[in-house]
Amino acid sequence: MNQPIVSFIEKEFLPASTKLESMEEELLTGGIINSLGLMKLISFIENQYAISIPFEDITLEHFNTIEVITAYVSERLDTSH
Amino acid sequence: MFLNGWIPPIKNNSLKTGLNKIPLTQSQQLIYAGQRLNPNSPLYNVPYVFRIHGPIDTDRFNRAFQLLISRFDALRTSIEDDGQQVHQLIRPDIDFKPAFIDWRESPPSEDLDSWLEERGKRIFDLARPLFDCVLITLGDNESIWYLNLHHLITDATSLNLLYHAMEEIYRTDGKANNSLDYKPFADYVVYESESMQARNKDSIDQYWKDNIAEYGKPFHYYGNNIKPLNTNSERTVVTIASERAEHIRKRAQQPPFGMISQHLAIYNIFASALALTVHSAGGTQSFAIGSPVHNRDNRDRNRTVGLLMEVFPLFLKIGKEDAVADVIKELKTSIFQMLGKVGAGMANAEIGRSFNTMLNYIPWDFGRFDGHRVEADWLHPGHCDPNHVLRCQILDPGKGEMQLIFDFNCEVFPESKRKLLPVHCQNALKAILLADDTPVQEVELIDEEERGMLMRKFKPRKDHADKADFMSSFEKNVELSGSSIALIQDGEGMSYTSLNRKANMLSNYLLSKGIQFEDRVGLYMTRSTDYIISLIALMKIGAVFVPIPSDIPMRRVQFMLKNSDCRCCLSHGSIDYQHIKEIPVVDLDSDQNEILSYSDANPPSIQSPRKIAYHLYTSGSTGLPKGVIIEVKALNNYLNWAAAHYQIEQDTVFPLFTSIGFDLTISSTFLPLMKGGTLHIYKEAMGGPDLSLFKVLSDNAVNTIKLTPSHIGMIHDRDLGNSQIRTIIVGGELFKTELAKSLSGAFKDKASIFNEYGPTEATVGCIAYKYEAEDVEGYSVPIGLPITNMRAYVLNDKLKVLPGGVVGELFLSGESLAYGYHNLPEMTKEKFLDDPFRPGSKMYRTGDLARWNEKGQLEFKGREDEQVKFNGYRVELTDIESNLTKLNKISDAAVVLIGSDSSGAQSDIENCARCGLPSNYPNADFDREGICHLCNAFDGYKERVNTYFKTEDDLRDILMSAKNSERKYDCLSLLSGGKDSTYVLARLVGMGLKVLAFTLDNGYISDQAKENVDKIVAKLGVDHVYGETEHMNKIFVDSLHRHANVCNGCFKTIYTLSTQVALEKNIPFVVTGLSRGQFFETRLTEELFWEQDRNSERIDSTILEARKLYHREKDAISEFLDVSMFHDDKTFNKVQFIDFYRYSNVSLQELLSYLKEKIDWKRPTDTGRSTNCLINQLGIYVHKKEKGYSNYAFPYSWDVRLGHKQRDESLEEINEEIDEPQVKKIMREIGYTESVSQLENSDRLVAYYVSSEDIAQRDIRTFLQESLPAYMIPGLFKRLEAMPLTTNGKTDKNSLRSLNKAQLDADVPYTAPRNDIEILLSEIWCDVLQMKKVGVFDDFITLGGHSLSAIRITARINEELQLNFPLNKIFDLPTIAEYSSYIEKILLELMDEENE
Repeated sequence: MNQPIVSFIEKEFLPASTKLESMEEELLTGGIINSLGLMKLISFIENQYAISIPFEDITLEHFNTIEVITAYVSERLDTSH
Repeated sequence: MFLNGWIPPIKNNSLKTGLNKIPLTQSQQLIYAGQRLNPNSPLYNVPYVFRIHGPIDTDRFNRAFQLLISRFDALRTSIEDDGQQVHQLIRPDIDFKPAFIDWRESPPSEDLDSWLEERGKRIFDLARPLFDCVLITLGDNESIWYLNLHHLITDATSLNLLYHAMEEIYRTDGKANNSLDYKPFADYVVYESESMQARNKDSIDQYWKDNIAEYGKPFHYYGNNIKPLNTNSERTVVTIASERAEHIRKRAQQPPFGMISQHLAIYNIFASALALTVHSAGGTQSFAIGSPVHNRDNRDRNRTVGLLMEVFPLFLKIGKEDAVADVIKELKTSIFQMLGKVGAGMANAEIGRSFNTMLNYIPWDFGRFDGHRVEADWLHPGHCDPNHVLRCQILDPGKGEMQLIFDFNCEVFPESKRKLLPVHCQNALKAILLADDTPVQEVELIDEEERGMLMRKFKPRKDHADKADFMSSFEKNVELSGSSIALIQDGEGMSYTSLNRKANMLSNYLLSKGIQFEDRVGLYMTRSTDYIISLIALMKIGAVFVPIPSDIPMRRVQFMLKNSDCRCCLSHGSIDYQHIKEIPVVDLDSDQNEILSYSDANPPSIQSPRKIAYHLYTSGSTGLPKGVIIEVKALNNYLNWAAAHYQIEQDTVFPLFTSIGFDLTISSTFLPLMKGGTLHIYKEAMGGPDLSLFKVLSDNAVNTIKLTPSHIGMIHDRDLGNSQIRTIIVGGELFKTELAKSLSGAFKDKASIFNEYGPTEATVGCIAYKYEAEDVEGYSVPIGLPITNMRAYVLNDKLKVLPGGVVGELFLSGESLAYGYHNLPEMTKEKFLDDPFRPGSKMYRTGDLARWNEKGQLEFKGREDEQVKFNGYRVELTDIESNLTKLNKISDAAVVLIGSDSSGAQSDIENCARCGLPSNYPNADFDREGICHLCNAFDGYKERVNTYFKTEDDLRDILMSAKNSERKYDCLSLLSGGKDSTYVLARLVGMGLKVLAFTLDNGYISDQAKENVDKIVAKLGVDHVYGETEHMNKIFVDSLHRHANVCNGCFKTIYTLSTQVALEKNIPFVVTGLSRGQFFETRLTEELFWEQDRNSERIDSTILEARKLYHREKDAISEFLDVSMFHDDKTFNKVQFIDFYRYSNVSLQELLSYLKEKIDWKRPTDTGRSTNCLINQLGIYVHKKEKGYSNYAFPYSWDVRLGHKQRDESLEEINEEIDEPQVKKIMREIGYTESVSQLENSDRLVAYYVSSEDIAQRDIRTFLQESLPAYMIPGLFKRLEAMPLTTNGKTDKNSLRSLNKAQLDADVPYTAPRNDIEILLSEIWCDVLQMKKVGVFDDFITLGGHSLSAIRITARINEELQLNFPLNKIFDLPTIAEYSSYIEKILLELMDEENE
């Protein structure tokens, strides 16, 4: 389910034709995505999965790796259904 | 020597090939515009200096820099402005060589810093490369790389990218190819344009618009309301030590900060600190802070050099009760909110103008240069965009020290404030790092040094060594110079000896009457020698005097005497004191002989020192005056200071010409007598204005005077060069600088002018300032410094000391403070607080606003209530006033905020217990039982009203009387389809009459109501016609403007069209279904029933006269419908109007059951209301908005009064909910636009000015626009002949606030009635037209007068004067002035007749 997110990050934030090394790769603390980029990613996720992400949830715990993003998005999907 | 490389020539061939000409981005446009406005200011230079500690090879450096230029298109960019369009040109290559300067052998003539400073200020030619690059070799192992870029091609991130690219190229001598991965700026320009097109612009624009409207209001740092014009800027750099910086970095990772990135979290910390600073230093609760957003939201843009950054506002509101932690949390949300709304190209000029303060967080990590240590510095070009009066930057290298940089606009921040703001900000930072629940208001931003400075100012002036008691001084004067003249009244002098003897006799007399130590005694007197004798007599025996002026209402006199527990009251012959019953009155005239029989020797000395000197009453917010208790020591403190400060001597002559009940008068009363001088007494006029001041000036016998600014307003334009007056003490009100200047001029600069401030509660004056023209900058004369033994504090709501300059509430402490309010312990507690700075003492809360100005003087900033909220802005009325008076032709000005008539919350409205009339109906007056004045008056003429009503038999007789077989119809019946008119029709048919039913289709009759109408006429078998007009909507609009409802227009249309039908079809009667309540709305008035013998015929003929006038008025009906028949009196005979319910007293119950039985009538349900007309609620909506109550409130109250409706039913119908969306829809349909005042609220700022001639509104507005922001420009300017004054000589703002909308809009200056007849007429007009004030040139029609009010006014005039003026006179003579001179003429004629 996280494929769209992975593709989006690779397209927007990684050098051409590079891939994310792992699902645990640190996106924010690793300098791949800055805060403005994160806002962009969030609005992509909101549109892609038709969920809304409150400001309080925009934290490292939820967005620093693909792994935690996936978990967070699934959780949001569950609560909203 | 450093010119080499500067202003590089453009290669000739570059114009031919590969030239890219593209538009400017949004950010570039803003900067370009700013530079164009300030062409000679380096305000957008961004000079960086890198000090490299190691050898640098200049050739290699040059090669590297050439590569840098080729890789970054920003460096090859310049601006092309052909006068029409502005583009940026990106050239394929440019010929630029950095300047290389070697200072090893030829040391510079100037030091490096000044060289850099000068270089950094160079102006770029925008048509050429927008950067400058220099390498200075200082030593073998030390070089300076100077790189200055114009902001058009750079931002903070770009500098970082450029540095690293340059370093890498140099290090590898061009071999590394990482740099090739950088993206061109031209790509971003395309991206921005695409994003802007793709964006759903409206909703986002709306977001910024709405928030800017709420938060983007200007505020002033430290009360300095200068609008900066030039770009001069000074930088203050604060180093945050490593330890503290590390603490900040650590805190950033902890709650409540912790954010997705360390940078954002640190930004949150500093933004919160800056917010607290702005809140306190700017005195604002909601504001915006500009926050740069780098727009690098993906990998490509992360690697682009150029101006990508845009600045967006962070919005913040700090509530009165908010804690520090709340501010942090709110800002966090605000940051996210902003980040969610930003996007390339979004920051337009409007967004750019919404803040004056910017905060930038810049990661400051440049790393080594070719392995050498580097120190980077960002130079300040000494200039900055004047729209950003404060820029705050944090340079954070990630570890170790941080730098906190403040760039200040020099106009807004004088040097002292440039020192203090960083201190305030650091103290705010301390509080923010604690992030606890401390209320924001309790966070003190000033440090010990500033507090000490402010406290030194608080410190009292040196006390006088020989502090004297007034009575001892007076007695000494008697002893030493008894023959000197103490008092003069009406040319007669009284010596000190004589005054003392008289006072002694009175003292002894009063003692014999039982007046004791500390008894209170009223002095109800005119200004007179009696008054002075009395107060000295009372002081001698230790009694407390209570001055009661002669010109206040009787009830207030009684209140003061009772409230102060006076033992007795002293008065004299010229006062009518008969109404004082509860305590004995000593009449100094009638008791004179007895008093003179007492000994003139000093009374026995009092047993203990006197404590209380007097009680003085000041007006209270509750409407009842408060008695302020003044102690002897407070009075002495003031008098001793004042005598020394104003140099009161034996030759001082003061006039006593102001009210004895006014605190200001204490100076005049006591100062001369204390120092052996003379007091000239000017008695007030009994009734009429007090013109004593003019007498004082024309007598020219005094040399020292104390008066109010309003007094000065009356005299400042006279030539007083010959006046003896050398000392002028001004008090009581804000003293405008312009007035002071003009006053000084009037006295040919020969008089010293003092501004004295002090509430009654701090005894006359406790802060004072000697006016020096060159010393005064602000719009008002400063009030200066506290007097001897007094302190003044400017505090916030939580009693914390505010930074110097910030406006806050003024608190007073010290010896002059009053003891409290007599018999008001609660209020005393509320106003006299414990002084937190001097434990054990009290501090008085003045309710006045003040600030410490740059010169260390206090400035009075008006009453807390003078500062009004207007459309969300805090507006200082005095500020507008003083600017007005700067206009030459204007000698005085007063600005008031006039509220809507609907002031008062709906929940505060009561309804008459009997009829339901709402309490906000104009002039409504309820008695103790809650019964309104209309009901009470009605009780008096109820019986006569009953004779006006008849029976259905009478009706049948009238209608039958004209029965004629030639006629097809006996009458026309107006049918709306509602219950009342349906009943009328059914009854008429039931009487056996031939009836034509008439319905006006106004376009808003509900479908069900129409069905009802069709069903009714079918069932009753009558003919029916619909009337209609294509102009109905214009008539509605006109009616809304004239009457604030739609019904008036609709009714008149019905009458007009039905009269036409009746004339055509030869129908003699039109029968209406008006309710009895509606008679009183449209036909009947109380006055018609005043006369005992008034019979129905006479009433009917008056009504008919009024009806003729009504149909001949000019309005939309007469414009759009044919009303020619009404000009013929015969029409009114041919077609008579009959009100059915005059003849029927049917109850609602009966009526409904009759309708159900006869025609199965049902209430329409599709209007959602009790009415069958859809537009009706629009009328109610507008009426409620404009007047505060429903237009049905009055007629329904009459229905209830006359027993045709129950109170509850009426209230239920009046309070029906209004469907606002529906109302707005109908407004659009009929083309009615709500006035701005209706949309927001009907408050408006009105300026009154005194001038000998009218000045065009536009001229005044243009003049004010030069100095005031748009929101402070009054909406209306009205000329006055003279400023109305209260009895204390202050501007009577209440009176200025009571003119209504129509009067304000009319193009006539307000002129008060000038003679008895005008006074009488204006009282009648006010009453009938429900107004507070009517000027004699106000127009009857403009004020909303109509035929019904004509009936009322005419009837009242006739009643008062026992004359018989016709109704139409008021339309011929529509102003009080005209009508009254007509009356005068008639009265003279009548007198002549009698004489003949």
